Amino acid sequence: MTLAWIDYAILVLYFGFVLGIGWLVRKSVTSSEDFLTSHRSVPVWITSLAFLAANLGAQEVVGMCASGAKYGIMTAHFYWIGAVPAMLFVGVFMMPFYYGSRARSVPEYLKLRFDEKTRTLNAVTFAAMTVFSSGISMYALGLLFQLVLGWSFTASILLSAAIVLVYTYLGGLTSAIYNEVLQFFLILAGFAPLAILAVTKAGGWEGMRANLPLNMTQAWRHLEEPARNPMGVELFGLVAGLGFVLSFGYWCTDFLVVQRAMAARNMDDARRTPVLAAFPKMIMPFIVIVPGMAALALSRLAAGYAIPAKPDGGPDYDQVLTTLMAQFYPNGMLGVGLTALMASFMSGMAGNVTAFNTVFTYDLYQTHLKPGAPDAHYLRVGRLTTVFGIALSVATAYLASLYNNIMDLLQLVFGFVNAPLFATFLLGMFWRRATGHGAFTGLASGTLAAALTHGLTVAEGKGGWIAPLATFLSTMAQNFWIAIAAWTTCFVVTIAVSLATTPRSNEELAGLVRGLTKLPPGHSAWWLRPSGLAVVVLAALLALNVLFW
Amino acid sequence: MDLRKAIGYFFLLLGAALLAAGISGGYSAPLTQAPVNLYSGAAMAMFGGVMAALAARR
Repeated sequence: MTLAWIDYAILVLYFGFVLGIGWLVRKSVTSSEDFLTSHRSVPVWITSLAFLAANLGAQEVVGMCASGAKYGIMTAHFYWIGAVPAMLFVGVFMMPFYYGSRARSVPEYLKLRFDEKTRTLNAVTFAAMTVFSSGISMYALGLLFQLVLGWSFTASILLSAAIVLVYTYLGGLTSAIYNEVLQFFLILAGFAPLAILAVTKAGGWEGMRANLPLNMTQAWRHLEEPARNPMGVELFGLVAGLGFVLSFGYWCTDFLVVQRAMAARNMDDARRTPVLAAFPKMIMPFIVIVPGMAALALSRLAAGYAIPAKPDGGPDYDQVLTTLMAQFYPNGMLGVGLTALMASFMSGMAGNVTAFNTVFTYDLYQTHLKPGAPDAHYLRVGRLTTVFGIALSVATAYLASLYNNIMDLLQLVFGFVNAPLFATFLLGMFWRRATGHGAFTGLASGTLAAALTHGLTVAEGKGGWIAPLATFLSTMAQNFWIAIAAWTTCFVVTIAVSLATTPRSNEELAGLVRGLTKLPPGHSAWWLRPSGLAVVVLAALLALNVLFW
Repeated sequence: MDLRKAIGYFFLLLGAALLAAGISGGYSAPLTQAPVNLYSGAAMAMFGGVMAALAARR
């Protein structure tokens, strides 16, 4: 792939605008809350798009296109049942407690609802996870640019990290959120034309259907047994593991996304943020997954495109997106496509960094290291943490380039820690009898159950380090079942321990639990209410699933 | 700051650059004959114009 001066000019134009937004927003930052939480001042159309874009990292975009070529339309389950229902749930049912409790972060909600030890457990694991995921994503981007454009690994990651650092250091969360919206539109502009061109070349949807196996163009019909579909999963594992545990665990409890909604101006806007974000989320598969499917159809048609191969001869799906761009985009649009890739990386990284600095400053530093200092001190710590978090991410990216196995292990361990989380929040928000001891023990046992399930099952040579008692057809199926085991254990243990320990009084739980929380009066028009909007989203989601049944 | 203005100007400039590249006809892609730069540039410039107009109306 060869770039022309116009492609570089587009990249420079983008860098200029993101830095310019950071520069303009810096004036609004005068306190730690301005820097770390945007002081609940951001309009709803901005929080909604940022809610979506913070999750739309480069790994997500490249990975989803790769999965489109590998698994077909079933990949859309990661959006349709793996995201949208959870986004509606967090907006309609959970946001009243996050926003209404006036907590500044998700771990702080756990402190208000349960106790300090539960908050600290969540804050430490979350902080470590955000830094490492940002590093892993940075590593993937550096590697991709090295492979496709011949750019130096070090130069790519240092340049992108430096730009994210400057605009988040200047304008904090507001700058990250504003830039995420620009980045979202750029991602659409950079990838949507590719979807149109690749699908048209492959003969439209009908042409793709004629050239791909049925189980790659139908989302639900091949789930009776794992061997019948390319993902190697079955209906219950998919719906319970992905559609319930993993999806709700991420979208409803991960501060990276919830932080965007918590920056909204009022309760109604905070609740509508994830619900409005669900509209574009639903159509993202057509922009990131369908081009991957078109790539596979094109390679079968021998239409001048072939899925790239790895050195060992196997297909290299991770290069599908960039090779499609090289084939369909002339210079100019090629620059937009690569800048969109850079933008998706930056939006993901800024999301991680701004969530990390808030949790570190408020939940760890202010709580355990230096409580009671003047606000200016915490603003300074928030800024320094931004630098520190980005430096750690860069170090992680280098570590990943040296020891690939360490990264696999880290991702595995974080999976164990995350899987049970939704059970804790569900019981915390909807069962007033749940106690801090119950929540903490439940989380610890859920994580242990996840590790045990991994140790007792094998899939594609992974796991089974205790005793291989069961075998899964794919690591994806194994992950879904690990999540189910973790969630169920956390749910049962939290209830059992809560019943044996003393609950907090109703007065202490006001504003934190359903039944003890008064909602402010919302809009009178049903289509402006979060629940009314959610019904519209659900109807559209149902229609999409029927269409691709 | 009004974010619509920033997004509007960005896409106006991006669209103009692509339109210029498309009109000059200097670049092509291996697998398509479609004037990709021209169409994409026009769409982006239009989007940028709408955002900038929305920001200016207030």
